[in-house]
Amino acid sequence: MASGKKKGFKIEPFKHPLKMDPTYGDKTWKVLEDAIHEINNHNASGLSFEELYRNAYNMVINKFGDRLYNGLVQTQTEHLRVVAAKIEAAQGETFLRELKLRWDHHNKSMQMIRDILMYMDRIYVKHQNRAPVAQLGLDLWRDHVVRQKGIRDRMLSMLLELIHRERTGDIVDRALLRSITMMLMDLGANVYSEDFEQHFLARAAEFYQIEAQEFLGSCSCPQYMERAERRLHEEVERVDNYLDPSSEPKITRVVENELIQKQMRALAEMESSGMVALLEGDKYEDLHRMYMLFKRVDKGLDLMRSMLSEHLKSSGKALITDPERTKDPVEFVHRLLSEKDKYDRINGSAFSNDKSFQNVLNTAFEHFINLSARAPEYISLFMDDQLRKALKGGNEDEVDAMLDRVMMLFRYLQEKDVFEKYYKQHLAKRLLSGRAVSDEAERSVLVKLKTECGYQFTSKLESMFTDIKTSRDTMQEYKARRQASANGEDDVELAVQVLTTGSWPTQSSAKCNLPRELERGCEDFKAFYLASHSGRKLSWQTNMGNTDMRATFGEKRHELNVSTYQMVILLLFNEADRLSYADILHATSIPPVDLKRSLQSLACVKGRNVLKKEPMSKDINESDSFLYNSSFHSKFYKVKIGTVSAQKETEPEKQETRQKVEEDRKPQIEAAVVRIMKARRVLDHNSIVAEVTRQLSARFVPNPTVIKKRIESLIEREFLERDASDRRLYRYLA
Amino acid sequence: LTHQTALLNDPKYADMLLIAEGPPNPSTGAVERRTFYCHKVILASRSTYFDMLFGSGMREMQEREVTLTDCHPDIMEALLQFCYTGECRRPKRDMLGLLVMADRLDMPCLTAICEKAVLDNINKDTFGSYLDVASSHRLERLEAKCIDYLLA
Repeated sequence: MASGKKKGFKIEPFKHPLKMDPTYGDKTWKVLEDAIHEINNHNASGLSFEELYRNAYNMVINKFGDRLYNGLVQTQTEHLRVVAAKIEAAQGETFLRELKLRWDHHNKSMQMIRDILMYMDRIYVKHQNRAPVAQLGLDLWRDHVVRQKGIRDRMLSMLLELIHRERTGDIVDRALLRSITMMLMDLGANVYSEDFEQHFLARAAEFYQIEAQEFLGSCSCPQYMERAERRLHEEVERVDNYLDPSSEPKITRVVENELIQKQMRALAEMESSGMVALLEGDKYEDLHRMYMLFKRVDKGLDLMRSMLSEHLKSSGKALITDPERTKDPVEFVHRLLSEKDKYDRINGSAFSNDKSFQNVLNTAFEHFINLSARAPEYISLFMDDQLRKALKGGNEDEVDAMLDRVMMLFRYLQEKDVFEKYYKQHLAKRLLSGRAVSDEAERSVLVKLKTECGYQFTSKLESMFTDIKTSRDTMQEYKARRQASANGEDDVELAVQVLTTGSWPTQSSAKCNLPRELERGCEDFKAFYLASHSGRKLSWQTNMGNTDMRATFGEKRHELNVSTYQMVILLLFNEADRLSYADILHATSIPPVDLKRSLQSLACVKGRNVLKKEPMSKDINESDSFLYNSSFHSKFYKVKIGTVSAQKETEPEKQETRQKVEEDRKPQIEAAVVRIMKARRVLDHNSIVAEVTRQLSARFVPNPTVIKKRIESLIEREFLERDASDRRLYRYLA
Repeated sequence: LTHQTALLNDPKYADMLLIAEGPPNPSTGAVERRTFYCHKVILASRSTYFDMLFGSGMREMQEREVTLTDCHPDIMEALLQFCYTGECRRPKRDMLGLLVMADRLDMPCLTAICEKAVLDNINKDTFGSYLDVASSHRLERLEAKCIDYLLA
């Protein structure tokens, strides 16, 4: 005992007089125990806080901490046993209410007890590593109330029953549910999870499994999805209202799994209301719902993507192979465009412009557009049609927008070189038709193609425009010269367009026999042109020209607009009224195919039949004869016969174009091989094929067999050699 | 703080009485006793004990006075001085008593100040009682220092 020894200490800081009393611990504890009973019985207002605190304090500093703590545990345990029995005695519905009420009381008591025992919490509990009073209160409640046999299962089944009733449409006491789940959470996340949540999730899975079957049996796909969406929403709301937030992802997962994941295939493939039906019916809202729901589950969007792709490929294939729809190229491209629009709209409004869906669309379009060998030709024809429209005073913005859209289809083409070929032909016809061309629209297409495929792609097309422009200048000069030396005897007005070989579609250079007047004009122009451009060679492309000529039918005069060939044929009838096919062929030496076609448009088209044919029929035979049709009449003064406007190619023509394309590809493939080998020196066959395919993919997809042939040809010409030891390797020979 | 200093033991707005009783004088048996006018809000802000006491729902909530029977009035005065001014100017010899009371009333700031003062004042006269208090109140630093002193 230290006290008393310290002289000069004015203040005696502590005293342990009670230490001598052997009953000190028991006596003090008795005071506290009584107080705890009072507190448990809601009679705390008569107690003195200071007294109880001081007693607890003294017990702790006098090493009676164990006695105090264990006494508390024992007292509260006994108390809670009584409480548990009272809760168990509650009948039916009142059970949960009783539990909640007792829980509230317990909390209040424990808080008071914690306050008076605070010194124990601070010193004793900390040093002995025991549970603080607040935690002790929770642990005791958990062990002696919540996990009591008679309470635990009853509480769980009542909670689940209430939730089930709410799911089936009843109104339940959410506040009560909330206080019970919060109690479980207070007792520890593991108590909430083990004593409630896992059972709750299992019950939900059971419920929704049955519900999914019911829905599938009675609902269409959109109805099912609406309900599933509502259920998901309800469960989230339930969590918000009376469960712990940590349950939200779990219960959501259960519903997603039962209502969507397990049923998604059955749902998407539902007959007459599944995904295909939604796509066909442009059901944006339902598709969007499907997208949002399926996005939640594993492989959900994969399923949608593969169904979208399949559907689009098959409907696209049907479109492409339908003979009715492929008859008219312009109509055909319109169909493609509207299909493209349809799916772009679906992707925009239903699939949130999802990139991966856009990719599926692109791949599917690319797939089926390239199924059609005629697609490049038709797209070019469509552009031709649009450009002519632009010329005829169509709204330029509209035409430009349309061209922009058709460029999207162009992007899908694998054989861009085939398209180029056709575009060149159609452009040539537009430029040479003698009529004005909508420069702005044409240029805009060129710019678009250039952006898409690069300078190389359009350089020849551009030089075609240059030729036309240069020709215009040349003709002005020529006319001026002619006028200067005019002798007034001209009855033929000659217009010449000088085209650069190579830039224009290859022409058969067979020249027909021109009438004398014209021949003279040609010679004159040739002399004029070569005088200023020495060293060039001019050859006449009579198959591309056209003429305005005046003709008299009985009393009536008409001005006929015809092709050069037709003009040559008609002029023959100045000297004779009747000529046989053989006569005409002999006199003109027009190639038979062109001759037949020219005659057909002169003799077989109603309203334009300036010639009569014997016998009458639709087709031209080599045994036919032709007569001047003196009774021809037309309400127009000007009559346009035979059109040079672009037409869909016939099968043999198509084959020919195809062959030309294949020929053109050879040097491109060879150039690519040489370029690659020059850089790499040594490379194996497969790598070359892969690399060539990659380099040329912007223009076309080369056939591996063709590449192989080109490599062989390069070996023959000693650009490459096979490696002596490894036959699969090629070496570049400098 | 100066305003609060003026409030120290000022009855005007005081909302409670604090009565401090010292231990009986060993020779006379007389108990020293003094009453202080206090403001709950100030005490509660410095001491967790008072904070809980004022909200305990027990007798003290109704009554306007609280009696501490194990606190010498001089110590209570020093303690209140700290509560109202934040300062603790007391001779070293008072510090142990103040430390014990600060600990009992859960006043962490004052406890720290006193403990530091006590640590600097270990000598042959003090270490015995220091060690006693240190072990019963689990003042580990003080305890270690006293043992060091003993061994040195």
